[in-house]
Amino acid sequence: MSDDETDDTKSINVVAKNDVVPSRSTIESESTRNTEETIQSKTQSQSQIQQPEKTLSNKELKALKKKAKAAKRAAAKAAMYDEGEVSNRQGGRPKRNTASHIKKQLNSAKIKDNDVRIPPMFGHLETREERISASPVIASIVHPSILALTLKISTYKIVGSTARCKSMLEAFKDVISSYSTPQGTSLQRNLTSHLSHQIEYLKTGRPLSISMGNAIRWLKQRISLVSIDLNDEAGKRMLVDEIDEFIKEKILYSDRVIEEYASKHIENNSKILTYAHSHVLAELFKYCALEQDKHFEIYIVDSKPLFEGKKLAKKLAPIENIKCHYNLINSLSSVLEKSNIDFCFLGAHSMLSNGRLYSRVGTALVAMAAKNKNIPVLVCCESIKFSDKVQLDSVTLNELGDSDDLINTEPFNKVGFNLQQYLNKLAREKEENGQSHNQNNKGQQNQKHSKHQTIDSEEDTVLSNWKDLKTLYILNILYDLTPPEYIQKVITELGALPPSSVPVILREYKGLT
Amino acid sequence: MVHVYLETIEGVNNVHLNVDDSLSTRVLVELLREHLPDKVADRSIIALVGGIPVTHYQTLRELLDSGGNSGSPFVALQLRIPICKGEGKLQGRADEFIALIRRIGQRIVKAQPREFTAGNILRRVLAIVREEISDSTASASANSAPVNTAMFRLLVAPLDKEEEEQRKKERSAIDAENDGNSHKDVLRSVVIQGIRELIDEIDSVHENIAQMTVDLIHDNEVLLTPTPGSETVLNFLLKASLKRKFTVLITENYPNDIELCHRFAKKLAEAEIETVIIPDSTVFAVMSRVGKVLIGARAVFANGGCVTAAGVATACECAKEHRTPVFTVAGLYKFSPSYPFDRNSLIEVGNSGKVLPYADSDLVGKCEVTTPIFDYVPPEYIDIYITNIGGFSPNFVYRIVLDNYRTEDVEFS
Amino acid sequence: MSVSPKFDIKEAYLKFLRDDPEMTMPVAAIEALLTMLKIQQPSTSSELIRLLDDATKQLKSSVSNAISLSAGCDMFMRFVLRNLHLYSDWESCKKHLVENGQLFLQRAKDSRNRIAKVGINFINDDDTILVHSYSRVVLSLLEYAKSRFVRFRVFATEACPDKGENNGIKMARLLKKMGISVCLIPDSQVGFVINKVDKVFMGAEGVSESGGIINHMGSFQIGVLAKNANKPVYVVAESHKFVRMFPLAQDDLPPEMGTKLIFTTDLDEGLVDHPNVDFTPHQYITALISDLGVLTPSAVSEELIKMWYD
Repeated sequence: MSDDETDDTKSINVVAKNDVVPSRSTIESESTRNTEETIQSKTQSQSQIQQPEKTLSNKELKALKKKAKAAKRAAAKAAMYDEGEVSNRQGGRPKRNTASHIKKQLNSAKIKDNDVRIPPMFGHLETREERISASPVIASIVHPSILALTLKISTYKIVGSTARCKSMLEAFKDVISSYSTPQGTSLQRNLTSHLSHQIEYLKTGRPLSISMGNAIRWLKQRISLVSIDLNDEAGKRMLVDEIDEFIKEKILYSDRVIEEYASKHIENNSKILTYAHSHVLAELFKYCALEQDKHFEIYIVDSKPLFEGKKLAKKLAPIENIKCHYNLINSLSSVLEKSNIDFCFLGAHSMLSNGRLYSRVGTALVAMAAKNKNIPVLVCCESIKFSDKVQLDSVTLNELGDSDDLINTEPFNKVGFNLQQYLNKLAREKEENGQSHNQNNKGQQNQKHSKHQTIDSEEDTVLSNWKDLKTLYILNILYDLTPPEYIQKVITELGALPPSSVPVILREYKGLT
Repeated sequence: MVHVYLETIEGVNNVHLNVDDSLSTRVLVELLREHLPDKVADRSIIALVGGIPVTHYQTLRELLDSGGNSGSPFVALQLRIPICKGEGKLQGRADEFIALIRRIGQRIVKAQPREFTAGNILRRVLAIVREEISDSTASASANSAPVNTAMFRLLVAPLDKEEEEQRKKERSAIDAENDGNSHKDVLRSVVIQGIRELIDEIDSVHENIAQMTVDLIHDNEVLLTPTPGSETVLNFLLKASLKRKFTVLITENYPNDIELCHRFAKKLAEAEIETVIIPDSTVFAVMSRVGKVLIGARAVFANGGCVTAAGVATACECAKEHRTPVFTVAGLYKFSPSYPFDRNSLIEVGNSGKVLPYADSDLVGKCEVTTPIFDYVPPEYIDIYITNIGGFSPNFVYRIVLDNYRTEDVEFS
Repeated sequence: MSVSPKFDIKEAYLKFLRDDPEMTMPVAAIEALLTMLKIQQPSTSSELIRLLDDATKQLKSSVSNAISLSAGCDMFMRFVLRNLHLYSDWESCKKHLVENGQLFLQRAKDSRNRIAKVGINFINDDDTILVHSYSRVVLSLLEYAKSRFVRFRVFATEACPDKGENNGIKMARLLKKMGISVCLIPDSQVGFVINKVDKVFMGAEGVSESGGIINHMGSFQIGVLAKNANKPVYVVAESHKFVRMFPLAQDDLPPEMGTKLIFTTDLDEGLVDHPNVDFTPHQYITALISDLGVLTPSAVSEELIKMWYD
């Protein structure tokens, strides 16, 4: 993260006032030039309009554009495909959606199939590339806040259902504030569709979380309820206020209530097991240690590739009252065997209507192991994360991560896969001898390598070109499903309940949101 | 820094090593070659087992791995050398010979208490020796004791102290009589023959286990293996791929075996087996699609439990929750006659820097980190053991163990 | 030919039990049979077999709790038969048997010591152990562990109903005398404390062929609770308690164990006449600690098979 900050300061220097929407003419005029340059300038113009308080570096914005591109480019090495894709992404103009355009899109999708290899059984899951190609070509009308957010989400800088939902709502506030109703239509009608475009774009980063979906549904409902008598400004102000209220009520206060409930389980000298990172749990542990002055031990179990547990550990380790233990998931049985764990607290991505917990992959394993050791498993989950979906296993509904994240020995080496591709390309262009580089090495983890250092991989390179092996797949899914029998209690802001009561909550409180 | 010096006891050269963590295996081996006289060079492996500081297990294992699949063949090989040469006190009587092997056993076990195979092989050798002795005494004294089952222990007819002593005298008389003449040589050649067979057995473990592949894997099956470090599993799968088409899911076993996992996956993929690498956390998510779980073991205990790579116990537990059969492939030499009384004493702990590297300096020192390298899988999580002598259910392992080891040799000390 | 009236095998058996509290039922049965042999002096082998057969039957039918007794009788029978068939020198064998009555008792005690040595590995510092009812083997194991300075705590069950024998209270008292801290709990409280327990130790009246055990009433429910809580259950039993039975459920216990269940509206009717033992199937047992070492359930059947078929 520290690397970003250095870049942030730079980006502030480049701030220039500009229109909210990048001028179409800029793009138009450049469209004849080299495709590569087009994108560069486009991203530049976007980064310039960006407000300084958005802590997003120039580079990252660039990367955002590259992200989508580079993955495709990796596959379609031939320049002609590049051309086609650029035209895909460039417009946002309906006239682009001609038959030949769609054909091109299909073409590029086909080529991607050779490259993005999804393991058997998981072929039904959407890859990021598919998401991008499926999303309408709307980049030009996407609000910069959303662009920034999409980038942060897709690089797992903002991760976790709560955080994503919150920052999405914040971004929507920006969108709404800078929105102006076109002539001949009303805010109630047009804002929804405007937001839909933003959401479509947001989805290209990662699929929406359940909480985001719930929040969006709520927001759209609110928009439709804005009184027709209000003028635009008042309507927008009202919506922004309501979003603030929503965040407060559904996330901040809910978390507070959950902390209050759950803190009863944590006593002095308790030993708590938890997995990965959950916003509400981090707050809960802090609350117990700092405000209630309880002394206890936390066993954080973590796993590849996201290492979210480290985030939790970083939050908790400095607190004196908490003794932190950090373990990877393969030492789970040893942790349970050696230490007398009192409770297992788990965070949630979503609680499904049939009582199953949809959460970070590995949660089910921890819940199972804890249950088998008779350790009560408690799930802390805001009611905004409740979903009326039903699911039976983790295979049918899931989200695919990037396979390469598992091969890189330093996962998420701050530079995303696609950015690296782009940087490699830059390097290639600079050195005329266009030598292709592999992206896995930790030497690149900071962004300084944009100075076109040659990349030498010193780490494990056994599988650096795993894609050459036709029968090798790497599975990186993000979630799994924990059966209700492993869960003793779900703690929500509406009280503690057994997992079987999730549909009750959904029925009773649906109208209230 | 490496300090190498040689020590000779009872016909076995021991190399004591003081190994720095940063030293790569290759460098280490080269250094060894350099420091050791030619004659001793091929003897160095056992010496390593005997002399290496316990904490450097990984390096040791890599060393062993670089030469073969486990420590045991070396131990067996190395044992043969002193015996063949009849060095030192080996000219003595059979019981002294037994005592020698037990001493070696003590040293090896003490040096690496969690490496069971070496001890197992020594016990096998002891069993061979004892067998030979009891055969010869039995033939000498025709009045063999009635074959009574252990349950009759309460009632069995007299085997008083007096008589016991008499027998002892008899035996030593026989030994004394034979001292220096043919019997000694017979014993030695029999034992050497036995060790040779043992080595052959170990060498052919993979082939023998692989013979059973056809019975265990059906077409288009999805297998999961959480032990990508196991040579036995690799061989099993490669053999199976000749006859069946199947998919293998491999867990990464991060951070311990990640490199091994990649190599393992590469080898499978090169054999055109559909191979999927999954992170350790994904085991539960995919388990409902897995037909069988295949694991390798480091050691198998008399109760049917086994010690294997960290994380496997959770994976097997998960398989049990899904009613997915778990089978373990292990050579006979992995079966240990001891009982896993204390789980934690079986588990080696590794370098925690792999879990929290110094890059996370704000956590290092503030978080307690444990990195077990092994895991104990209780017998109830395992459905069958596939060995080079056939398949067994875990609760029959006690019998295999009784067949191959003598109860008096379970403890070396 | 029947057992002559001048010798009452049941009386002899009960006398042995009374005289020496350390003596277990199978050993007492063997001693009683030996005493009978000493008195009756059978002359032919067929007479010997008949005599033993009758005495065994008589003993089994006259004593209410015959399971571990029959283990002793059966083993003795097999031993005699085996020696008769295989070896010519039955005489010397008989001489040995008849003369060394005291030896068996000593050996039985020895096997308890051997069990203690095997079993101590199962007890670690800071363990909380649940024991059920009174068992000499468990007692000697815990005593040995105590003498080796293992620090542990014990939950002892009251083991009701036991017809006024106060087995659980007796166990608790003996343990306390050894300096082991004990918490005596009613049987109905086992579920309440099971999560605080690390492992369960039980004795056995008989170990069935499947590896399941016949033990004092209440063992089954403790086994089920322990299994549910994933706590290991170790059965501590000498190998001479292995008995050739294969009950599948409680009803398969011999009828003399008294499973009379009366449903009545009679207000004066109190507690039902309860049996003294129940059957715990092998799946609830983690391992058997016996003088032959730590056994899995299948090892029990192997030992029995070796004894009965060859």
